[in-house]
Amino acid sequence: MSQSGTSPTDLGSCSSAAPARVSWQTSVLTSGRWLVIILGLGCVSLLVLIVSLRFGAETVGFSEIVRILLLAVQDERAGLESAGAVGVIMLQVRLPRIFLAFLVGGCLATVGAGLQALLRNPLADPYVLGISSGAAFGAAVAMLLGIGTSLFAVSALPLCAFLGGLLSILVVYRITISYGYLPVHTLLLAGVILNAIFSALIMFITSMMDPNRSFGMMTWLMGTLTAPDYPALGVLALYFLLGMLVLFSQARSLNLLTLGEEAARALGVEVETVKRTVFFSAALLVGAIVSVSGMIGFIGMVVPHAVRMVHGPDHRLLLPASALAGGSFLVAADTVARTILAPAEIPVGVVTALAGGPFFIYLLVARKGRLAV
Amino acid sequence: MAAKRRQQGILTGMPFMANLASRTFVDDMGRKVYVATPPARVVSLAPSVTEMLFAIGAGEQVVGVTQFCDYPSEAQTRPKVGYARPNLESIIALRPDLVVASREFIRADLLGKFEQLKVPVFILEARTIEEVLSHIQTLGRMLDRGVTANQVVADMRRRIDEIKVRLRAVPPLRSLYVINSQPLITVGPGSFIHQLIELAGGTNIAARATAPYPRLNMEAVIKEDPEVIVFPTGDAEGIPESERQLWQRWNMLSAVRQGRMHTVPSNLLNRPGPRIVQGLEQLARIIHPDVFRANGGS
Amino acid sequence: MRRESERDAAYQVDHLKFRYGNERNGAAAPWVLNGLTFEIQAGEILGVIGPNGSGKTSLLKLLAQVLRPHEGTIRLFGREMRAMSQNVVARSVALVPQDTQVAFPFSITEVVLMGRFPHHRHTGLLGGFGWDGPEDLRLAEQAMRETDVLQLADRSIGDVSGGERQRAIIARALAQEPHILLLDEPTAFLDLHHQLEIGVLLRRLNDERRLTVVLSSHDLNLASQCCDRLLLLDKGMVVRLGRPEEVIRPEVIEPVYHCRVLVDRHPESGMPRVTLPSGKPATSRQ
Repeated sequence: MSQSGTSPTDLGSCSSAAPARVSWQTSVLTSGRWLVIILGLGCVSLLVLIVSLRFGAETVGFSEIVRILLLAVQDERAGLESAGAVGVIMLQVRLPRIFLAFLVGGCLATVGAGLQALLRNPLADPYVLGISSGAAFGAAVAMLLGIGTSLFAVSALPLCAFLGGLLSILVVYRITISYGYLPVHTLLLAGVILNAIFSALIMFITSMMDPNRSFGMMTWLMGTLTAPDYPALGVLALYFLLGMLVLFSQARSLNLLTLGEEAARALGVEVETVKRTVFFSAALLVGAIVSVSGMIGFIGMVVPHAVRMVHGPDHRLLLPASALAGGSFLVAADTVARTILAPAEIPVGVVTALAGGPFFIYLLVARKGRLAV
Repeated sequence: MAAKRRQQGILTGMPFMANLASRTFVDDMGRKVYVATPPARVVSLAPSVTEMLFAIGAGEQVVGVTQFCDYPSEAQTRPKVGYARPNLESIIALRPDLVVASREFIRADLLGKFEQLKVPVFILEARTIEEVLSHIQTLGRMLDRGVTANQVVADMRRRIDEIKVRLRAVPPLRSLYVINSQPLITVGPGSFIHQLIELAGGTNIAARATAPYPRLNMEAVIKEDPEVIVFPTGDAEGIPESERQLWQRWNMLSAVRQGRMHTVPSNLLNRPGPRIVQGLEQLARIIHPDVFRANGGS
Repeated sequence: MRRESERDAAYQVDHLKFRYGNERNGAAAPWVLNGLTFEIQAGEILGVIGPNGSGKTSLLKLLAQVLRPHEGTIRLFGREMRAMSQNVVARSVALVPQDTQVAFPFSITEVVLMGRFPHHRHTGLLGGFGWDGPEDLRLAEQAMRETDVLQLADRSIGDVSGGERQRAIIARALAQEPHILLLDEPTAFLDLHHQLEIGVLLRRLNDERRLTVVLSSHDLNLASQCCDRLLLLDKGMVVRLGRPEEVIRPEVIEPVYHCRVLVDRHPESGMPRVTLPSGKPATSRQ
């Protein structure tokens, strides 16, 4: 019901020429500030990506990197042949793996931020909904049954894991949905229960397996970033970017949602639609992430937290900034994981926790203002 | 000599009993185990141990095995007591005179329980081929099958030496042993499988790794460019045959280009027991087929 | 009782029934609102009073469409609310709830600016972004000035006192530019001078712009002073709807609140004033 004319609360513009930026407005997010921060983080991400190309089983010089990249772009077969093993390493192993790490890290952080808003809890992480353990269960079953390849020479392991994730999503949704409403505390409980059940099932499978095989499974679960081939990477990139865009689109509603569902409803937010959207996009993203890379911890909870401490809780900035920060962080962590003990590598989840932990402690101590209320 | 079961226990600091010294055996954890008479009832807590016991002719004494003990086929008829998580009650119910276990899977609390119940436990840990051979002989002495054991070991040594001789002048091929593809796990210098590869005329491309079962970076594989890739396969203990397909993607590797991706029954290689020689022979045949083509080998 | 000119009615409530719990347990849960029928006129200040459990808060939430009725209808400016989306309702109606959950450290300004949400476009993928324009900022500043929270603009909403938070929420509601303002126990956390200020502010907005105000309160005297009419609820039903003189009478109040009350007149305004008896035995009566 819109009425034209002046609004009831308008007392007349006594202070007619409103100054551009007054001191009380410093906390407000403007498009200008958004652009600066996102571009800044984008530059940092690019830098991290470029530097990471240097390190691995062999350190490659920048000029060599540029040469190989140019050869690839120009599709110079002969030139690439001459580049030999280094060329293959760069283009088939390192580059796709770095891209994958960036996507996975970005998604984990975005999902973490989204779920922290949905559940109104700054300690939530992407694995709290139980989808991740469902996906891990799918992977465990695949490994138990020895399912190797499927069609198109694509490993069936991620597919089975994804199916496990889908199963979890359905179960959690079914448990929680009640007369069209998605109560958040029930969602949390359902997630906790599912985590417990699937973890128990995974442990059971592990105990049944021959210890030589279960070792492979445990290592996969600890977090694995294997270099995908470019078609697979393309599909994943599309999927992840789409999911993240859906979450970004809910940014403003999420701001309002953190003040309570009733307050948000009174302000015109279609609360149930927003919750459903966030739940499904987060769950589908997490299912895919775990299917592809096992459970990489720490990023989903701590990166959004750190970004919030530095840049504030407005989700219009928080979501994309977390994506960039999470992506860069995982790329850096993965670079350390695959370089430090070369030719062996350590699970990337170990590096994220060991590196991120102290950094987060520093943030906590240095900026006691904007942590939580 | 009515040696009651109570006397078959762990000796603690009785070095002056010289006549007992010959019946005291030291296991791979440094524990001294005193075995007065050859045990009539032995429980095996590892497939490798089961194979060793049967190989030295002590199959009759084996009263309990793990669910993975499938060789020889006789072993499958014995009662099962578990593997990574052995069932204490089933073991005790079998009234064993001796329990032989692998250090990899024995839990400290279980060991403590056995000691408390005065059940003799002997722990084996094989890091090299020599240690495997010496295990066979130790078990032979413990179960009074020394003669058979020595014969088995002598045969194994002969076959190993034969392979060594044949490969003496042959340049080794760069080899990759894939325990798991995603993530890539292989063997390193701490594992006796690594030794088998080297004996079979291969150079393990993960030789610079520090852990016995390292997770390997794909970049390292490309850099080292293996000429042969070996996949241990088998129902429970190996990887599925189809995992080889995943490797077709890496067609810049010599092994893939030349179609040198082979499977080998995993049970022959990851059980530190009498059949490692068979495993070695199969490996050698895989890595250097031209050298072993003329003679069928055993 | 239906008025002739429907345009004068901000709300028309007809046989409204509501209870908590869903249909499965519904049989067990009692009705919180049990068949309410009344009208709220545009431009009036209505006070909703009643003892605990009478349904005051639920009624306000229903009027803001935060909750949906089980039976009966509510018409907002003549249109059935059932047919209206959340966003459309929020452009006309602002609700100031009793308390606010605080999970994240938004600043007071950011919270007040959230009141502008109903007026932004929300279409498509980028609809989610919606930057605040100069008009939004101006309205927010004005609202903060009116509720005396402008000096707290950059403070985190979790860092301020209960009263300051409440005033910030009121500012948010004002920034919404509503035609109807619903307030649930608005003065609960406020100290005296702020209570007075809010009362004055509401009167002023009501006078100047015909802002319809519906507020619920435990404080019968506040309601009596501020409001044009009072709606007295008990156990989810209307006991009386009328001017304060008609409602604040011992014979009306006492059966509802189950206690004896003394009613006299406010020395300055002349509105009815409720005082509790001294608690000494009945002989203290004048």
